[in-house]
Amino acid sequence: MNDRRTYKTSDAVSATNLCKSFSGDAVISNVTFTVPEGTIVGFIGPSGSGKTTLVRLMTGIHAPTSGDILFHGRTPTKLSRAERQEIGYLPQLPVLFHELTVWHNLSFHASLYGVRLRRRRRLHELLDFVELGDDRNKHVSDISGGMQRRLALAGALVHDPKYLFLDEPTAGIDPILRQKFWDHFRTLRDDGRTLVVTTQYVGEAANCDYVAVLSEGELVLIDTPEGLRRYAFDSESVEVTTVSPQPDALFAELTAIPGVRELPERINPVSVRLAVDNAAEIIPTLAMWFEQRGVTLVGCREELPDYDDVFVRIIERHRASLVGAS
Amino acid sequence: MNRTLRARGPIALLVQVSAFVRKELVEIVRQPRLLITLVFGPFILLVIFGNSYRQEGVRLRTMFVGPPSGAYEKAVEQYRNTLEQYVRVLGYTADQHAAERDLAEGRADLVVVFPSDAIEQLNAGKQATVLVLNDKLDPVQTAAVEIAARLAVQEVNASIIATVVAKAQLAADPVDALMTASVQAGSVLNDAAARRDPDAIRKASTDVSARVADLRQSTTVVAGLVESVGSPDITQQQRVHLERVESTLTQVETLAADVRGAADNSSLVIQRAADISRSLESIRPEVDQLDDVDANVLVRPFAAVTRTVLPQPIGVTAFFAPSSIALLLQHLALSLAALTLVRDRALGLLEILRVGPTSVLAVIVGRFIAFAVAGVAVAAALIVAVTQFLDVPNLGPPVWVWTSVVMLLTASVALGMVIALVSRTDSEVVQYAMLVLLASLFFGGFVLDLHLFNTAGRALSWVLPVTWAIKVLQQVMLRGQDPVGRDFAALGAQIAVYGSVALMLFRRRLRVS
Repeated sequence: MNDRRTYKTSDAVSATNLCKSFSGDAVISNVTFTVPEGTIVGFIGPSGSGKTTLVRLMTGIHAPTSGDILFHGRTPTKLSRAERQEIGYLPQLPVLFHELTVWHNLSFHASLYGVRLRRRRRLHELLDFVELGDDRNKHVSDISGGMQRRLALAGALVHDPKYLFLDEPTAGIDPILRQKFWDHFRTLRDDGRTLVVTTQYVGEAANCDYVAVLSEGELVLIDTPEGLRRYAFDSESVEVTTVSPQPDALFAELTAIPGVRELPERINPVSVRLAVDNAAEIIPTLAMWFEQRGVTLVGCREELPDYDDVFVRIIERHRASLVGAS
Repeated sequence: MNRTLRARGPIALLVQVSAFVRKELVEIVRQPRLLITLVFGPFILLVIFGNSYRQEGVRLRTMFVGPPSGAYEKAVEQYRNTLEQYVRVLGYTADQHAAERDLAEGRADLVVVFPSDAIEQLNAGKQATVLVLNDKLDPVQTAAVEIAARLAVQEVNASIIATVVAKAQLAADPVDALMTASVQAGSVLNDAAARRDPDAIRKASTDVSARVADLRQSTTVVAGLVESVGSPDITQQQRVHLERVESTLTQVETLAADVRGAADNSSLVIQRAADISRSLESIRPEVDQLDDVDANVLVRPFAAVTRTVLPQPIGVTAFFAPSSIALLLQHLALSLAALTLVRDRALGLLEILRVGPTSVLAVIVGRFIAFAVAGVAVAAALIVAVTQFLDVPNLGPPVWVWTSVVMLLTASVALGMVIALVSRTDSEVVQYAMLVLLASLFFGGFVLDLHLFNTAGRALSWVLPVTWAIKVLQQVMLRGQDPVGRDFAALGAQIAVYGSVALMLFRRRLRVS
């Protein structure tokens, strides 16, 4: 589902029918999307789906083979130095010099972006944020891969850019620090920054304002995380739990309620799962329906499918549609 | 971006330059083994080279081959001391195959084969050929062998001629005795004249004529010898002497004839006899000199004495020290610049540079400064080491030495960047760096003088920074003179050309794919 839109001033990035080939092999095929200002847009897809190439197209490292891509209405390959100063870029493989210390590496990145020389406080802040403050005098060759990744992220943030293009920033990071990163990304977004983040951790989609799913160079879908779930399962899911076991006949009557799609799936003697159009709207109706029939509920809540399942379902559906089309 | 964080204008450029200066210097300093190799390696090599090189020249081990128990064997033994000036005489043998085997198995450097038919050749009016065999691979050594062989054969020829001349001088030895006899005959004539004895006067005058005739003949023989084998200067000098002796002897003969004709005229005889004695005495120094010229001086009139006009004599270590330093600095700067650029590319730094605001000029200038600083530090350590511990002179103004070092380093960094930007991998860079090193050894004036090359070879030497740096460093350090402006101009041109090409290629690399 490609969202065909033209460039608006509120869009940080706008791509239309974007294609990129290397030596004749298509890596990105006919992709159209926008990245609205002040949002976090996550690009999710299996390895080789074209996430990194897309980031490189957005940052002007690569020029498209065909189609258009605009960064603030300008071709990314022709940005001025001042415009480039507003971009923070974290490549997939960290650019760190192993003979230099953590501090010197961060300082090197700061200098590349023209951060003034009185910057100790800023460097300390960032090292503390990525939890490398105590390791600042260690050489990069002596720290772990995860620590290197954190240091590289600090390097991309060091000049406090307005636009961040982060290629798998949380790869190899422990879950607690990963959550801290995402909290920081949201803070940056709330400050008006725009973030484009690629990830292989499908669960991280929930942290994004928009999620783009890529598969084999094609943009399968770009939507909100909730929209993704809906698209994956065509419905939302509500789990109902009663105090005592109820007969199947009672649950079968639920199909008469508008918005309930099919016969409930029994999970155990006291619980069933309902496929519904809109969980938030139907939960009060369901509660009232059971109350009218004298059935006491332990719970009635929306069941959120795991994003891994959502992702797998979307990719499978996309592949099936390709097979069907061919 | 938070504007309080941002440096502005030229300061931003300086900040970006400083990123590369610091990064490169820290990376170099973090490799102590590299630094030790860079400074102590060449120094130790120079020490070993200087101490192990035999400055007195290589005397080749030589086996002589000729007919057994012949004149050659005696000649080799007789002239051994003369030959030892040029070669180390291993011995004399009649077995040419054995001598050639010694040559093939490395026990001898040269085999000199005397001709077995020398007399026949000489009788036929041809030169007898002395064959000199060697197995040298090195063309320079082969040339040295040819020169040594030619000198040795010339020396043998000269020794033989000197012997012949000495014998001829011995054969003509009566010159001295005949002079004395002539003077004595003159005295006898004077005595006879004083006694006024006509018979004695006639006899004595006849005796004077006979002695004078013998003396004339003998001086003519010696003069002919000098004319044949002596040097032009000696010949000219002797010719003057001979002319005076001959004219005086003719005069004496005339006087003696007058005396015989007027033996009864006692006053005339007394006067003529006195004239004869005076004339003979007057030519004694010239006659002595005709006889005194040593046969060796006649044959080898010139002896070479060399004296340097340099401020001080230059040994082999001193000669090679400036060129070694120049070569090392070129290789150091070129390799570091090239390898760093390729490594950064492999690391993905170019991606960061493409996305970010860093100026290409900052990247290039930053590296120039870093490698120039590192190179100057290495150069300072090496120059101090060779001047303090190896007695290599540093006679000229230091400003020229350091100017040339900085220019050499800058040109080499630029060349290294060009190499990196046309290479794809580390291995390619190493190969190109080795090619430049080899070219510098052959064409940079390190071993062979540039005048030995034709235009194509010289053109290759001109594109190497080390060529000009060696010229400047030798001129300033060893001769103590100001460098030639052209050498600095050439280094400046290389900096401009290589720098521009590097800048252009780097911009192209940073262009979007």
